[in-house]
Amino acid sequence: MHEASIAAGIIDRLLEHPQLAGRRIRVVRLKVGRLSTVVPENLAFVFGAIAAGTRVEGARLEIEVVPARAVCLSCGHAFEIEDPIFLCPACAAGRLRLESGRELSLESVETEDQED
Amino acid sequence: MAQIKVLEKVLGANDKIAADNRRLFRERGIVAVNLMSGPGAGKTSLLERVLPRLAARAPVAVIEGDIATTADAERIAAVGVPVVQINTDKLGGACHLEALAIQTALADLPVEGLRWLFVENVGNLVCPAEFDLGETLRVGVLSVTEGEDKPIKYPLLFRQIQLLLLHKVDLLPHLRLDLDRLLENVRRVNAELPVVRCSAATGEGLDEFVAWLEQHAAT
Repeated sequence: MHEASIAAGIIDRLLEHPQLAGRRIRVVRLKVGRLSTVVPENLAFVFGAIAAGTRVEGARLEIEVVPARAVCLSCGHAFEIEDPIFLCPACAAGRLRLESGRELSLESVETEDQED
Repeated sequence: MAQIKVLEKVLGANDKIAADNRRLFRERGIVAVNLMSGPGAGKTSLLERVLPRLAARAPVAVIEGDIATTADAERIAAVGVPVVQINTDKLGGACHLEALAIQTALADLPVEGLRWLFVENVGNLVCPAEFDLGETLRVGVLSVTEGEDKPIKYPLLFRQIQLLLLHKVDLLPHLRLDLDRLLENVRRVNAELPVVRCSAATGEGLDEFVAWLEQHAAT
């Protein structure tokens, strides 16, 4: 359940972010790569629990899952990794460059309009 | 509602501390080895055998990431190597070590003149793979009693490591393990991963492990 420390990290980033100071946060958008070890459902669950009592309380987590893509360094074939097999489907070589799939990033948030 | 772009790495805070650790290791000539495996693969037993060999030539220390006991740290201390225990329950019942815990532990270790620092991560094949500690080398341990499918069930860890110690090979005659299938599964997730077959019980493969460490210490 490292999702708990990841959720706490996200909430810390949001609470410390200067542009978000004093604002209630309604939506939090994340990118999570297929090869990250984060289970989106688990993350959403602990996020809600940890956000309680802060400006992030009740915020909806929108998670975009990024596919795992690779390029074969032997034959140049570009492909998506669907199964945990990191071999080129064209030439069977195993020297790959991962193009995506390890993302774990905070993209944007939506806040309540500030009252003057 | 107002949309605001944030664009930050979720683990940015950890990565920053990991970078500080990495800089400290490089400046002081310390080789930090992050040892990762599932529970019971034999990380501590391997360290008990390997540490005295390394310590005979250069100072060694260990950071132990056991979850809630000091049992492993006591075993390491018994071979005469300085050890700091991190009980991860202090970090919220965590299942892995983070860079901050390493930075904190370093304050309690004799870093002056230190050559080798082994970090025995929490026994877990999922979470430790996600967190950079600032280590120099990442070594995985998989025991032959864990079956053939661990690499494809936990691909991230098997892709993050630079060496796999296939441990407890002395037990192979007693097991119905399909070793070829296990090695094929390792190759499917990380085709270039070197594998050292070893046993803390018989000493097999330990010279090879030490040679690998010394060869990769400089790079």
